[in-house]
Amino acid sequence: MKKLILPLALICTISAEANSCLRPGKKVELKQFAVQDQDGLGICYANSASVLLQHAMGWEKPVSYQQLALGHANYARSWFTGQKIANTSGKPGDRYAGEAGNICLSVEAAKQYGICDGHSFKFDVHNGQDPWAMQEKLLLAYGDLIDYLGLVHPEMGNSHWDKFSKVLASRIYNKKKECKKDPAKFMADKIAQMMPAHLKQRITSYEQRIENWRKELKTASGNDVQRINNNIKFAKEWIVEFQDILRFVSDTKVGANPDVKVYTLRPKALEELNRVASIYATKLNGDFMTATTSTSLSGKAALPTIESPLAIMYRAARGMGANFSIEAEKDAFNDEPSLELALSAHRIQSLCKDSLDEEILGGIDVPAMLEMRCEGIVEGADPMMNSAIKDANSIVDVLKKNPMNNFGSKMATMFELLAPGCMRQMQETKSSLNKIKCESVALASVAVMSKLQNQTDASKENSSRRMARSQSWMTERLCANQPVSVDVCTDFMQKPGFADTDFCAQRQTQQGQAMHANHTMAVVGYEVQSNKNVRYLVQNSWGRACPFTNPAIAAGKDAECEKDASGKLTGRFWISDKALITNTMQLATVAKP
Amino acid sequence: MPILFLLFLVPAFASTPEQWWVGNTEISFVEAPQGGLVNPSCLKKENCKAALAVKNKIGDTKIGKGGAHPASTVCRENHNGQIVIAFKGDVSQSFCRFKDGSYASLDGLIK
Repeated sequence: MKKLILPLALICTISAEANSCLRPGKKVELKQFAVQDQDGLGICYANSASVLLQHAMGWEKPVSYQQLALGHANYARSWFTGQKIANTSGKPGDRYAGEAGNICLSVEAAKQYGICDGHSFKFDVHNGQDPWAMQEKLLLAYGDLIDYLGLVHPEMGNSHWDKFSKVLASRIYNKKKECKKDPAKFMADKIAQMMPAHLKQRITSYEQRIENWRKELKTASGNDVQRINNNIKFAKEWIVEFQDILRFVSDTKVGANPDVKVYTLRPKALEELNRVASIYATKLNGDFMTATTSTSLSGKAALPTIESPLAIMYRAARGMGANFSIEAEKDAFNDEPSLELALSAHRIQSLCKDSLDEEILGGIDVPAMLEMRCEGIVEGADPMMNSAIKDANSIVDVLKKNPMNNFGSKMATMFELLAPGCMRQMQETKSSLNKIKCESVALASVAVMSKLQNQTDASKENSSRRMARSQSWMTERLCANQPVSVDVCTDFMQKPGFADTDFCAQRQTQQGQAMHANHTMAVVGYEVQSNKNVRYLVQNSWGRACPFTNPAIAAGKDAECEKDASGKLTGRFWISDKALITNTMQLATVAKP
Repeated sequence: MPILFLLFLVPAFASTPEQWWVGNTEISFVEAPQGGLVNPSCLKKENCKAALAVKNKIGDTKIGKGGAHPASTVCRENHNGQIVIAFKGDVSQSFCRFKDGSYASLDGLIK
């Protein structure tokens, strides 16, 4: 009898608790989490997961969302390529796992790799401040990775690889043609001579940007003033940096026309550039060596291509005390422009050869190859075409055999080099993280469902039931002081009505695919108004900005962006349950250990 | 009074030199009184080809093959020059390189 009474009592308690959660006047507001700015990076899932994990771990400091995103990407990739990591329960991830949503995948990745706080991993951007000017580089890195996720997904099959191989062959063919026409153009030394001009262009480009920012300043107000001033400050630092390098590497000569100055590279600098190129060509420990100056960076290891921009930029910004390859005053030389030139010289020179040798196969640069996708193939009887096709097939064979490209071990190297504090925390947090549980519920957004053709009355009914269920699911968790991640289609923020994007609707119809929205945010509170209407408090990851341009919503009818006592936006907003849940495709929460 | 004095110091035509890059070559230009960018030293010489071309602009021009800028035809055909594309940061601009090594911007060659 006792056995029966106890569960019944428990159910009643939960039910009463749920009811009290919805009584008019009830307001739950979790702590104010750090304002995060994902900027142009498509890593909202990591931003949202960082809020939920910070709460679950009881941390005062924010959890690094960049570290989570890198872990997520690595984890998803290992899934796709069949190198599934132990302790994962699911089926292979879907193709879009690297994009929106799926915070539970981030949490799984966190369990696998550990987490660290946002202060130990300097690439996180808080309050719109990007002191290392890293976001642009990160955008490229994540973009490459996400593309690659698509390429290696088993569903893509051989036809996708064939297509890839063809466009690759086309690109190689075109390059071979150029080489034949003007071989000298592709000499590494000749390319290297362009370096001073390259640096000078960068300086001018930053000067132009400063000029534009100064114009912007005249009409800017509030946070924008600070942002623009920061931009100007960092651009000035870059100018000084590049001027230093320029002074070190270049010689100038004035010709017959006194207004024409020819810049050349000093012999010592040219020597160093060639040394960097030879590092690039070296194959290390059977890995596919893709980069770079990392040997001189760490003295021991290589970084994969996608991380190299991070390392290089970081280093150029004098963020770390690595040993530089040229001693003393010359330390600024070995930075991004020289690297770019060295890499392009080497890559192009290799392509000029009749067939690819071991070196270039060892140095396969996946992101660069992915850029080639958009070019079509031109069939022809040209013998160079056959050679190009052969090269492309060799590259594809290598990638097929090892699509992971030893990504994980290289990622670890990057953390070790750039964020040792983060690395330590990652090790320390693994055991506590293993006790937490990520729980999610898929909803199929009502708005998306309504867009689908052939929707029956029965499925419409299901939609409203789903909506009620999700409201109750979310409120219960918030009432128990747990933040909830919402995976939404964002059109409702920007366009009239609650319509979802085609993006979301199309994905919904893809058979066998998990549902996907295009943005994820964390719900960190709720309020039951006197008329029993519920509204939620949402923490976004777009800095302090108010995300609404939808006239109805911007007018405050369904949502209101929160401001602090001084009138500054907080990056959070209140939104009606209808507006939010109608556009939500998945909810998730992380329970404390 | 000091302000008035300063005003007298400003010449009637003043253009700050600007630097453009062609490959690894940095080239100085100023705005010529007749319009168009020319090397400053060229403006001071009597027979410098770029300055002469800018002074004696050509009016009757034709659009080149494939919709090319009419001034590019003028550079090649009338002045036996070579078109070069120069860069200044994120901006690019075409110039004509004359046989004597002087440069003028394409827009300065035509009326």
